[in-house]
Amino acid sequence: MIMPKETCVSSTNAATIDRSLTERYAQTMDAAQEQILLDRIRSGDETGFEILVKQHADRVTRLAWRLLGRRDDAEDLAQEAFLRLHRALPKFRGDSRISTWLYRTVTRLAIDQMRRDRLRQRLFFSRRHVDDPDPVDLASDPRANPARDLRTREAMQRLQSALADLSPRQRAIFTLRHYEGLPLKEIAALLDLGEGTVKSHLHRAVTSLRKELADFHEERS
Amino acid sequence: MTKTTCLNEQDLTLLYYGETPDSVSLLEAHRHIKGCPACQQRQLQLERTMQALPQRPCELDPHYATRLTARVVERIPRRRFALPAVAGGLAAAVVVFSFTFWKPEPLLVTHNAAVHPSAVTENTPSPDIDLLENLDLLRELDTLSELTGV
Ligand SMILES: [Zn+2]
Repeated sequence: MIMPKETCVSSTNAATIDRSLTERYAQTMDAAQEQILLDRIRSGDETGFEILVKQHADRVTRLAWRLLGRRDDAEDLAQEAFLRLHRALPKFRGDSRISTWLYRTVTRLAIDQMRRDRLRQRLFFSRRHVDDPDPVDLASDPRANPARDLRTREAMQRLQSALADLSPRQRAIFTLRHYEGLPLKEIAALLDLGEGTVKSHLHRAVTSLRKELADFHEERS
Repeated sequence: MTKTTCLNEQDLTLLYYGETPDSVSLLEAHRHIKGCPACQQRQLQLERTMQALPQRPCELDPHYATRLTARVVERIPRRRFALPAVAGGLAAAVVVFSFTFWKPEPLLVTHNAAVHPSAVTENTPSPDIDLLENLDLLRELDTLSELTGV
């Protein structure tokens, strides 16, 4: 299992990611406030940690949900990421922001989980976790238009299935770029990969998705 | 018609995401597309497909963060409260063990120390060092308790 470490990314890379993530999400907590909170936690004040979790809970879970495709798995993964953060805080030097650390940890944990799921699928010929629709997606919204709801659901299932056929790394890179809007340079830094490798993974992911969804798009247009 | 050759698929993908293509500069790429109907068509097709991908809203209710925080915190105190109990037990065991097996050798230590001063630090188990080692052991309890799920 990959153990995310705060020191995995150089401070230059970390600074680039921090700046960008901060701009993108307009964090309510600036670096100075975060530092004060970290000092509180280090001095034994656990309420500081609660504030930190609450602050990042939604974003971390959404990222995990987009990466894994299922909400229940995403919640478990988010929980694990925060527990790891709690253990890592005494060693946290402040080279990177908490949001960057969490992004990196969640992405790597998700890739690990996708790899385990694929292995399980190969060993037991099981398709669970791979292209099963997310039960949350299937829950119908009473306000929704039934016909449109059905089309959206079908599109979602097709996408989910196509994403499941990508390699875990391709899927993570595609999700981070397409859905999270992270520049490839940042994705490369998060995953400790060269930018060229990330570009190539993204292209392969897009090609594969276009191929898998081609007939669906033709039918719809 | 432009002088540059048509863009490859990867460069078109990178352009779609606002990234710099690999084989040509951004300026060259845009200049080529502007003058090449074939690449314009390919770019349009790519855009259509990508924009048709369903969005995943991943909506969470307003109380989700509070619930998750409670779940996370619930898992932390258990470890925190269990640790002193385990540490206390182990410390007591260490003390009993030390008293049972500690063999004082004052004469030998004095003699060795007199002849070879360094022998004291190299050969004689110092109670202070023992204590430090035990403290290190206690520090490892954090890891042990995580592993055992205490
Ligand atoms: Zn062309």
